[in-house]
Amino acid sequence: MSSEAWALTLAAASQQIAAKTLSPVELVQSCLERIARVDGNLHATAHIDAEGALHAAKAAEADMATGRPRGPLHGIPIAFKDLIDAKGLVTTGNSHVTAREPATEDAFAVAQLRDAGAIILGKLNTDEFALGAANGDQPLPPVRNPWHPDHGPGGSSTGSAAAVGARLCPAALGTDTGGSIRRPAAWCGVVGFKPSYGRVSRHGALPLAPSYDHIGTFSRATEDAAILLGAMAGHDRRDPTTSTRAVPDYHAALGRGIKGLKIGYARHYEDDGGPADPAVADGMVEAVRVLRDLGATVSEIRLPTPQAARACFSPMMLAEVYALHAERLRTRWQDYGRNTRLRFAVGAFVTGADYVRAAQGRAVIARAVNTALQQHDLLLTVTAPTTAMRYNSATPDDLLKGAGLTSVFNVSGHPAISVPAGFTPAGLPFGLQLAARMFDEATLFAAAHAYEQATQWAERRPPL
Amino acid sequence: MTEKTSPALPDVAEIRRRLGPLPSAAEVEGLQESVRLLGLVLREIPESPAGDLDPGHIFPVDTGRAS
Repeated sequence: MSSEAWALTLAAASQQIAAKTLSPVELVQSCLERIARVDGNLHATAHIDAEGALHAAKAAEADMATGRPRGPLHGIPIAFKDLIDAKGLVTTGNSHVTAREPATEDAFAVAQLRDAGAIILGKLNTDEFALGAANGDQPLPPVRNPWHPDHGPGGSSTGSAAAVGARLCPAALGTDTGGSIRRPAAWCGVVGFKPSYGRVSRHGALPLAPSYDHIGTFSRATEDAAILLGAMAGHDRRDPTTSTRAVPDYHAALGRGIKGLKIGYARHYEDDGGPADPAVADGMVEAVRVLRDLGATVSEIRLPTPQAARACFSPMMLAEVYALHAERLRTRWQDYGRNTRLRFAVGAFVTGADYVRAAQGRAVIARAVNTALQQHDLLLTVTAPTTAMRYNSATPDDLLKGAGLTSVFNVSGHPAISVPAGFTPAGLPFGLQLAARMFDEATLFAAAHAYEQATQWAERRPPL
Repeated sequence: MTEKTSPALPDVAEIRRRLGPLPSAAEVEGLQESVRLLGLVLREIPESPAGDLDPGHIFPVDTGRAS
């Protein structure tokens, strides 16, 4: 049987499953068929557990038949960046240096989704350990952008962004240490969301730089991100950075709209990170108009520059990743991909004083973002000033040369989301980034949802 | 106040001491360039007037207390 169930958003599929007009088995089969048809050239997947997913889908179908629905994730197939453990599946980190033993338990976020009725579809491609940009010497081939095969998807959650963009699955999880969800989401035309630091446990995910690592979501709609966070958020004693704050009803907040909200727009990010693609800059002008038409007050502000954020982020991240890999770099240098080992090795030359000074600068940046958010309900920037890079073009030094516009909110810890904001004449997507006060994901989702409803960017399908 | 300096550019012996013998000569040369770039990046760290070293301020950890 063939259906276009693969084209549904998570929320739309959920409604059809609840109404019993779509079965979990039909949905999983449709995604598997889509993967078989499209992913041979895309390379978004790492390992798809077709047998396990179909088995779980049949169980979900039986639960529905006997009147035991588990909520909006019941029967929804979700895939995971191959840094995140799912019981019974190997976590490779797309590296030759990891052991090939199946995980003995789910990561916390995966367990929460499974408990909420989600179906584990499998694992998705990634830059090696979420930092080593693919160049063909890692276990999995580099991922192509679903909108144009001559371009990459952006990293590091390459497979998650491409899979959701290509409609291989309704949603996926990724990790975001400096923008590894939001940037590829923008470049693949999907919604990428990073929660507040401490909102979602990282237990069961391979770490990159623990003081910056976040787990977040890829989806085709903000509503889907709200559903996923509602299931994943909460305290986990195995990740001591997680908050015990109550988890609000994010989905209920979606309808609040943005009328009356104050949005601070850091337009200077388009120049600081640029030069911006003219189509992207024009797209931001239009996005501001849409937000104003929806009733928000948008005023220009200045945030800490992307260069300042990078200056705090880079030494701390590199030192933390080197600390995790120092021994293996000495003994298994050639087993890491070239980009990976040359990036990781720079951390050997970050001094203790550099780390402390960067940490002090981090506090300065966090205070500046907090101050901006005392005066505004939300912050707005472009997610990336350009569109996706050419396929397989990354070099080790890109990390230190580029000025990522996303890492400022990893430095500060604030929740941030990238939503589709347009396409260039060449057909490549770009996104806008919104950030909110710590643990105010509800306002973030309400604004992103309102913008999404007023535009149709997220509804475009790539030519696959 | 800490001094705002770039890391000293490591010579080949220093790179070998830290990373071992496996990196190639070309990779060692590339790493020297990367460390030079890191030094440029570090210059952009914002000054911390208070020199605040309280980890509660440095890391954005919130365990549930009111902010």
